[in-house]
Amino acid sequence: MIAKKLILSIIIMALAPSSLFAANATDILHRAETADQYINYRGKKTASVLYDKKTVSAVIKVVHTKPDNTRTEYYSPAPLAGIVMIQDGPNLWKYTPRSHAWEQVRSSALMPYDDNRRGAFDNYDIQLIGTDKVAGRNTYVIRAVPKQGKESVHRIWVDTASYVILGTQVINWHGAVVTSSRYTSVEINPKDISPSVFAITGKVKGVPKPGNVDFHVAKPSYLPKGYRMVGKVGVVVSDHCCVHSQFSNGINSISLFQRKCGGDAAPKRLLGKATTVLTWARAGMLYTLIGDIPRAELQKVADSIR
Amino acid sequence: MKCKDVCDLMSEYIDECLDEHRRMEVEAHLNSCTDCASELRAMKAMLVSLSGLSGRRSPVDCWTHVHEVIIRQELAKKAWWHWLLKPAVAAPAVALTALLTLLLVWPQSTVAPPPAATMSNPEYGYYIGAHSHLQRQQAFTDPDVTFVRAELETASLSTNTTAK
Repeated sequence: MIAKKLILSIIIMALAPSSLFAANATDILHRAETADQYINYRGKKTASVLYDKKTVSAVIKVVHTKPDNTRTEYYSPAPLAGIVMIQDGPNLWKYTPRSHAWEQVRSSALMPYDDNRRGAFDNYDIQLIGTDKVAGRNTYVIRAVPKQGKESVHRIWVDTASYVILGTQVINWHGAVVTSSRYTSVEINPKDISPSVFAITGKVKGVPKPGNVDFHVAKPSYLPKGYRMVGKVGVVVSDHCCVHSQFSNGINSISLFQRKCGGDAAPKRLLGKATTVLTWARAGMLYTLIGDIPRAELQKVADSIR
Repeated sequence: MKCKDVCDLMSEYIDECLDEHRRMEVEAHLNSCTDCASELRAMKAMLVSLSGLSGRRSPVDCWTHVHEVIIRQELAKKAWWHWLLKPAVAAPAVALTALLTLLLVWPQSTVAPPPAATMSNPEYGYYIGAHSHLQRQQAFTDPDVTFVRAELETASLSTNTTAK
């Protein structure tokens, strides 16, 4: 009898940490996704991208004040050096040293936060897999494993004290790390962040207003499991009236761009060194499909568009 | 009848075309005037020698060719632009000039070619950027990484728009 109780106690003790982690992963993710609303921070980080089969790293400085002001400065690599991004509430601005001007980034439809997170939990197993140190701070390591299909595995490192996300990693369906980021130094709630760092000063370029869409907006009859349409916006791109249809599974997204064109002879072709892009023309329309999913899957989506 | 009158009638006399009265008057003068008689002999001798020459027939369309040559020579004398004054040339020329003027003056947008079936680099760059803006809203996503990825893609467009 005593032996049975002992065995039962050992089993309970062995299972307790994993069940605790499972219960906390959801809470940690929610706190991490909303931490920016309550925390100020400043730091430097590196962001690495698998580009043309090589890893390219960028050095970035980030300054954030609650609830939604963020200034991001890019120091390297060369194509990005000198670029500054400022998030001012719903507005996103980009400064490029080549043009010496600010330009408002034309946004896609803003996705409702709750809908998006529901998609993440529906389509991924969210797990707390351990703890780690990032920039000298303790972090939780959360992993999102796709429940179905060939999707990437995502990891985030969340500061245990502030819940600010201090690191990310994406591993694709081939097991390759395609992107990662990690703070090398960070200050939580510094007292000396000036509001002027979020000011847009100097030359500002205008953004073309979207025109009327005078064509049938096509839809794919096939989407990978878990994806659904989350938005559709009309934009003007290089004088063309264009529709951007947006699909998401909560963590990953697919974009379909459609506009009129003068011919239908261009066959499907693959572009992109860092992401999968398919473009083709048919029946007087030019289509461009972008998504971080296997090419065969993207091709199936493309073939189903009518 | 005087010598001048006889000379005027000399050809008709030789051709025997004069009436009886006139013929007698001419013969009476020739019998009495050695100069006119001598003139008559010379004329008859010339006619005899001319009749000895071999005859050569003219081509049937001789006059047509002559007419064309004359017209060509007259046209060659005129300036080249005289052609433009001819209605058959002038009317199409005026219509063509008017059409070209209209195309040059008309607003560009109405004669713009249809949108291309291929993407320009700025257009492709926009698509990459817009997709990254969608992706940065997803959970587990670092917007800075998404941005770096999109910027690298658009920065290399000059060498990256060929089909694979």
